[in-house]
Amino acid sequence: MTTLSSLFSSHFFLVALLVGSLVGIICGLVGTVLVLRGELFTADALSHVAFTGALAAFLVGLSTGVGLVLSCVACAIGLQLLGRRNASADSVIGTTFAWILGLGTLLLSLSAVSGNGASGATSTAILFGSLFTISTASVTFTSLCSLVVVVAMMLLGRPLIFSTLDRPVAIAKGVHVEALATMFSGLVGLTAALAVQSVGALLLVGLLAAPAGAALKLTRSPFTAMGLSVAIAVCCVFGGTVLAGLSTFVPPSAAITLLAASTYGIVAVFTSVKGRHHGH
Amino acid sequence: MTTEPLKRPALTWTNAAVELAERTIFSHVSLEIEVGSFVAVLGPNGVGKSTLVKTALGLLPLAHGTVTVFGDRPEIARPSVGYLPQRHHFDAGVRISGRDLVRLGLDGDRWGMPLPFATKFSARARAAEAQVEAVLEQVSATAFADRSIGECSGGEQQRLLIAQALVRRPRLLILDEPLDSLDLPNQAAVAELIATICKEREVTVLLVAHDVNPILAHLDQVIYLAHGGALAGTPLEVITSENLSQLYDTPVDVLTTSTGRLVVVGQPDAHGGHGGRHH
Repeated sequence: MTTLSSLFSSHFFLVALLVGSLVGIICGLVGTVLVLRGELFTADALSHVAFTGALAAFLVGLSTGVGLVLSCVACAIGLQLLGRRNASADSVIGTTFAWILGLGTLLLSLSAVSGNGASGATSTAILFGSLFTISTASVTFTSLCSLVVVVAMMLLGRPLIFSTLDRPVAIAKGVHVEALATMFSGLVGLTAALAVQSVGALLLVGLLAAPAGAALKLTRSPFTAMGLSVAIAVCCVFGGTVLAGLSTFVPPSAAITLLAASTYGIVAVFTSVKGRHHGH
Repeated sequence: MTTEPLKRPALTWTNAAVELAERTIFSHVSLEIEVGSFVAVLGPNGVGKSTLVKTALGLLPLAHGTVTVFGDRPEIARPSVGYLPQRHHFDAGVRISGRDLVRLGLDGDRWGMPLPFATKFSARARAAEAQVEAVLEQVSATAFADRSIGECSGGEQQRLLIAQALVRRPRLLILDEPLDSLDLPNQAAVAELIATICKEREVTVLLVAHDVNPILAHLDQVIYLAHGGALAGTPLEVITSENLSQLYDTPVDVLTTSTGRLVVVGQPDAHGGHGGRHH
């Protein structure tokens, strides 16, 4: 049985904590705005793209991190531009993503046929996360990209919330809502790419939705919610990583999303009970 | 070129025309609105009332002619204009307090993020907070300003939105159907509030309305849009049975009550489409 002290003196664990916390911070920030904009589905779609993008990068010999970022950012921005042109872009988006996921499975079987045994491990890592096997290079990469997301969100925060909650007035005040939406899509893509490394493509939406959803139930201020959501996400990542480190069989992604979902559940029950008290 | 800035009108349209999707919405519209007046834009559905006010906001280009706001192009005059868009209401699920929404009207277009405890160390943050507080008081919205906007009633939301439009102390207020979906007592109260703001703060008000009756007593000027053109003047000049019957293509009666108030009867659209009115 691993003890807490031996855990905190091991290198891989501290790296996992650092990268996990960075991902928690950006997921908390971006997730809040995604929930407010009702665009969580974008993140779900991006998880399909992430799978294909990372596999493609792996097959071409690029780093999966770069493949993830390129594919997710390009697709997030592409989606936004498509949605802007055409109000009924749903079917186009659905078709595109089904095709991209199909391409991903094709790439997976191609790499298996070519006898590249590592592709199975890579795809598992992409789908379910690989927080405990992060290389030093990708720590630097994740740190830099996270910094970009945080600084950009700090700069765009106020006009972005304005254009999200009160679009017609924001337009009349000269806010460039479309340009903001495109920039935000780029940030969503970057966040999704980085989160895939820790929680994996399948659980990405959980880390974007649960902390933000819980935070938005706790406060009426969207800006306070962003801060709260970051705190909840970081706590979930921290707690989940420790749990996974102590256990021999629980993967970090499972522990993190379990914590995030329970936090959301507890907050939802708590606020609805409180709301009922106020109602009577 | 005018040498007396005081006489400069708040708004002018000169031979203005708008085309949307190659259809002419209106053309040859020439209007002038004096500073400090309360003006209503009226007319049947779909004649381009919202389109007309959007040209004054610089949100829609003119196909011909010019529009000026305080002598400038609309884009330049934007900081001195407050705007309340049409059918602007918030669903129950929208999670932002009225106070925060009003605050976005003040600085929502500025880069950055509001920081926690900003009022403790920034004089500007304190001034902004005081400005929001003052405008909430002006529209009597202080009591419900901390509730979620989605949980506020239609009348409360409308007061908060007027506060949001007013918070930068604009010289021109453009309100697109602010009385729509309000019950009669609330219509009267909000109309009264807008008239007070207009008179006491010398704010020019351009208000788009379906139904002229709740605001008629407060109006300095009315603009009727119909058949691709516009008819403007004081209410007594313009609101006559002949004019309105011609504009709406249906018999409309203008009656004078025993107290001298005008009442328009038979005007289509005025009461159609939304229930919940009290009598």
